[in-house]
Amino acid sequence: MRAAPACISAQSLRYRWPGQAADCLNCVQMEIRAGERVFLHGASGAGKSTLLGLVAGVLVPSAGELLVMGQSLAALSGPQRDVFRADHMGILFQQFNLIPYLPVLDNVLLPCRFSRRRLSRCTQPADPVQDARRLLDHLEIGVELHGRAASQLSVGQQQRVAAARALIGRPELVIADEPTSALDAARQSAFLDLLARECGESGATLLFVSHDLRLQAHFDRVVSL
Amino acid sequence: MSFLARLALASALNRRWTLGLTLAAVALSVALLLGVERLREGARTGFVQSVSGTDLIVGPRTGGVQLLLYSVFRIGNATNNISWVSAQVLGQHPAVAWTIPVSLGDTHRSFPVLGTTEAYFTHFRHGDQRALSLAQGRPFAGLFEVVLGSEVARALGYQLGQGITLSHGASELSLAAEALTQAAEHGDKPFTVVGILAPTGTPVDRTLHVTLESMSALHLDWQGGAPLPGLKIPAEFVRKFDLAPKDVNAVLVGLKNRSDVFRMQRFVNEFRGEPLLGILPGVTLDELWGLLAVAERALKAISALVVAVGLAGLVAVVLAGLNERRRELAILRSVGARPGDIFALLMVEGVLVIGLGVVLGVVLLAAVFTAVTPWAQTQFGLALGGTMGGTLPAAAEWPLIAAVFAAGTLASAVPAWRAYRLSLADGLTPRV
Repeated sequence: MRAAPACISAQSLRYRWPGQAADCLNCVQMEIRAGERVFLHGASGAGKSTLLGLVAGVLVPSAGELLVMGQSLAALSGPQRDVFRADHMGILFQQFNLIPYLPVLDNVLLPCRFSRRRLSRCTQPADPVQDARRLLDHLEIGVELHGRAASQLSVGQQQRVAAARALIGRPELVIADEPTSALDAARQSAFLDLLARECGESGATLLFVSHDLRLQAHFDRVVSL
Repeated sequence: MSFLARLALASALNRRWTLGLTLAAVALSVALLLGVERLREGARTGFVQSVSGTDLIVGPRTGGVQLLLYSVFRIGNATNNISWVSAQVLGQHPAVAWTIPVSLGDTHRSFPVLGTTEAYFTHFRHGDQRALSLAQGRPFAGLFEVVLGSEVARALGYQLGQGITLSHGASELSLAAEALTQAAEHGDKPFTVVGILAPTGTPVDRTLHVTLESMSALHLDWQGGAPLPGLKIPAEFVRKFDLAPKDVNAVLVGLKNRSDVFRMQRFVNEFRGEPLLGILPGVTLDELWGLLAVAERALKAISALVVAVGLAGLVAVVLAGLNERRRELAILRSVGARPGDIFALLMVEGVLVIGLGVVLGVVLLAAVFTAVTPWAQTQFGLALGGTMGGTLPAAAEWPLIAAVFAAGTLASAVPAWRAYRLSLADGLTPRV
């Protein structure tokens, strides 16, 4: 574990939203190793979502350096960052993670549609459905729900489906932006256990963002903004 | 790419009600645009088909268009007559091959009655120089015999040998109104159907043909458009009277040599006996189109505007829906969709609606025209069949269809571009 390479490394990272007078992120130093499960804590407005945007390559740093898996995202063009994100990252939002009109299984398979690498990293690239079903099974989504439209699922079920989608094709990094905020305490805990277990199983680094410090017990380390 | 198409389809199906209504608007506007064009073409073809081989139409001094309209198309009324003597002088002119006198004014169940001579059956040409042919029976030979146009026989269900009565005046009134004007019936002099013409797709189909003598016989005891009070001349006695026509409404003239047409026209226009007007059907038709051009252009402009409204509706609906879909777009971005994919997704959706709208519009139009053609034939005697009955768009319509499609594609680029900008600005966290 000690020899694990850096998954995310930020040096003097700054970001200022266009048209704003002050930096949103000011001189962030951060080092996250591959396979770590990190709890990124910060109060509302501390720039958590902005940092996630930078890591995901949706935003480009105003100054400083950000390496994700050794790759400087700023050095990539927009489309290249899109490909990089799809290839290496699974992303979980607070809620409304699913395309409502697609069936559960198709929602899980979305990354394989846009990223050839994610498809090739499935156990059987010719049949990614197997992996999708296995992940859904692990995340306790019954087979009878696989063909349902995503909009017919409960919020908790939706978040677990979204987790399966983030994990399919074994991306190196899973980013979760307060995915449990719509769940009650018992379900939060159960969801985090599942998420942490699945990340561990696929060897993915987990970057979990929340303002709720009570959740930190599920993680290896806490980073504060 | 095919996945994007499937995604767009699934997304569109998810919003099928709003998009469906937009689709209907596009389809209707396309049908209207093509319909106006088809109607215009059909009317032109119908008019051009209605008279051929006639070199000159001679009538009283009136407007050329008016003369053409009533003598060939039975539209409008003849306001004046030319004397039978003049008509006979015309017929004997050395340059003239044949003449067909035309006497109008009576109707039967709102179908016009034409008084003419046997020359009508031998010399009248329509379409591509086609002569009239009888489907059943024979041409009229004597008094109170009538030859029906095919549409008259079909619409009224008349058979050979059947007796019918004619009404005086061009009555377009309903049966109830006809009952009120019983006085204007030629009920005392019934006609016998002796022949039924084959369909021509021209006003001939909705005309009843009688001899000029029959026409005179009908009006022996009439004066100034009404029966003379106290004077009744029963049908069996009319033969005792001189039934030679006194006047006719127009004369269709065929020349031995077409190159004489302008010389003949001058002869007619400078006719000594009475003021006459000679027109060349083709030239007068062009004059008519000239008159109608403004209305045609206005109709075209309106239908083009309706298409624009339909497309604007589509853009508005997709744009309005975009805000609700920002989350959906962000999710797609998070799983690796490029902004270009988002643009393509929206384009596919727009093109899908436009494409379906165009197809539906064409189908709708074909259905409407198939349903309406018989009615148009009865009401206007215009050959709306042929080009218009066809289910596939005519060659001339493809550029219009392509133009609508191109405009629609261009219009779809507006919400697609907006979505592209939104997905760039929002990234993974849409500010809803």
